Amino acid sequence: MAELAQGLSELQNYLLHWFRNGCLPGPGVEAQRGVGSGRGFVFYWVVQDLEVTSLKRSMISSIATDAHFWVPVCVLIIGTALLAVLR
Amino acid sequence: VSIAPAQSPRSLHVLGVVCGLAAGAWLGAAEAPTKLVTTGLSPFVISLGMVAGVFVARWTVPMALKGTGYIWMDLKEKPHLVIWAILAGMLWAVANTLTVFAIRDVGLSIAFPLWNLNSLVGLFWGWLLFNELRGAGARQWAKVLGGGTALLFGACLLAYATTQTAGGEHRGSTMGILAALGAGLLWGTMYIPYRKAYISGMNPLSFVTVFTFGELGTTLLMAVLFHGGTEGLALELTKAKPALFWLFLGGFCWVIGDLFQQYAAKYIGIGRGIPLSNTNQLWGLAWGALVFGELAALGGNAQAIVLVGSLIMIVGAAAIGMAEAPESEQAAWRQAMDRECSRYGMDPKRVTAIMQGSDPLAQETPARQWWEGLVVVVALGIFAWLGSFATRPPIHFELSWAAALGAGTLAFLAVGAVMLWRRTRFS
Repeated sequence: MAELAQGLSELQNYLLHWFRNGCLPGPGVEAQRGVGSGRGFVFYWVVQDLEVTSLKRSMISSIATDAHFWVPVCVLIIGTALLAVLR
Repeated sequence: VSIAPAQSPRSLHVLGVVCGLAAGAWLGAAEAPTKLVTTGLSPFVISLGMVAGVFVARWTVPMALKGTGYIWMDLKEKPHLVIWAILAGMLWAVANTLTVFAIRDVGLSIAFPLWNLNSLVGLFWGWLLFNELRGAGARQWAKVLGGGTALLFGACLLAYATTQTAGGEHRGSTMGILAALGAGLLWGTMYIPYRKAYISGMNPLSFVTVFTFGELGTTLLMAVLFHGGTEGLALELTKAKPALFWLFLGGFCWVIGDLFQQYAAKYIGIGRGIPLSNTNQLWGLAWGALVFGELAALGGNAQAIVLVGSLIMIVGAAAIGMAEAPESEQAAWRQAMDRECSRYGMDPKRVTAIMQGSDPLAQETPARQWWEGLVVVVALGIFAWLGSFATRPPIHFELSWAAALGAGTLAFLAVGAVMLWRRTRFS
């Protein structure tokens, strides 16, 4: 059980490192970061986009957790549906 | 130093009321250039032309007043509000399209009062979601709700009287009434993002810069859909070319009015701000009657109704103007603000300062860039280019009244702008 917990913890760290840095932990990290490394390059930009751009994170947070957001969204859907019927 | 000195909440209330009234004047003036547009154009093209003018002005005015560095930093500080601003723009565009159908199906006299219910919708959302009028007491409730209802009733009378000469057949369907009610619901709900942004400390100038993307994108989409594709729309736009200048000019006036409306929503809330900006109907009526001679054919009864309706609207606006939020209500506003700060990780002290009219961001903003002046020149160039092939339709036009109303509208601009600058530095 302890081994499983340790394994999960390592996996978590591994994934966190991957998402934060855009590359796998271990030797050759800098090489994987993008310069000449296709895999690292793609991951780097994807993760940069997800992690660094707080805009997306905040917007997702806004949509997921703010109940107020769904009030205008629902009203917009109703209005658009009404337009579709009128057309 | 760009932070205004601390002053009493009363000065903010007065500022908000002046902004609401200035919004009414400029939103009403925005109708004047559109009256110069030759009839026969598609309503969607008229709407698209105005929104295109709005798009140009909405980039230029905020940049001229605060600079792109300021706007960009403001957006970066509260990035979660970007989607709210786009959503508000989309709500506006769909509501605007619904009004076209409402007028077509039931006529302006029925449609206008129905979509003017937006002020009561906004009042409800302000109370429910942002603690407006919580702890305000019966007198404030009576002033705000009574004033809003008086404005709505006065608007009903004006709409009824001014359409007496129009006549015409309407399709008269339930769908038209639903379209008008839908427009009122959407326009009233559009103020949720407004208030959300301002209790989070966003500058109205930053908000409208993003708002315009949702507005233009959705209006363009509607115009394409309702004209059967881009080719149909392009054909209509070609026909509208001589009128585009007037539509752009209307859009520009609309931007000024909307900016004042945003400041009113920020400093006195949406429950008080929306009814005050709905006085635009009075101004629209004044332009139509005095400058374009639209009511010349009205009978004595109809003219009396116009007078009574106008007086009722003025009384309603005065009632709201005197309904200053007491300390207990302002404490409820602060609770709503704290909730936003807690949810989105903002500094409550900083947001409180901004809500009180200070502008801490202005001290952290980088210097203006040389090309910002170039953007203003390009925007003016677009107006000049459109003006080069604009034609004036042969309609009745009273220059002296136009000058008088124009002077009154400019006076509101001057007073509102000076007060905003002195008290808040356009924060």
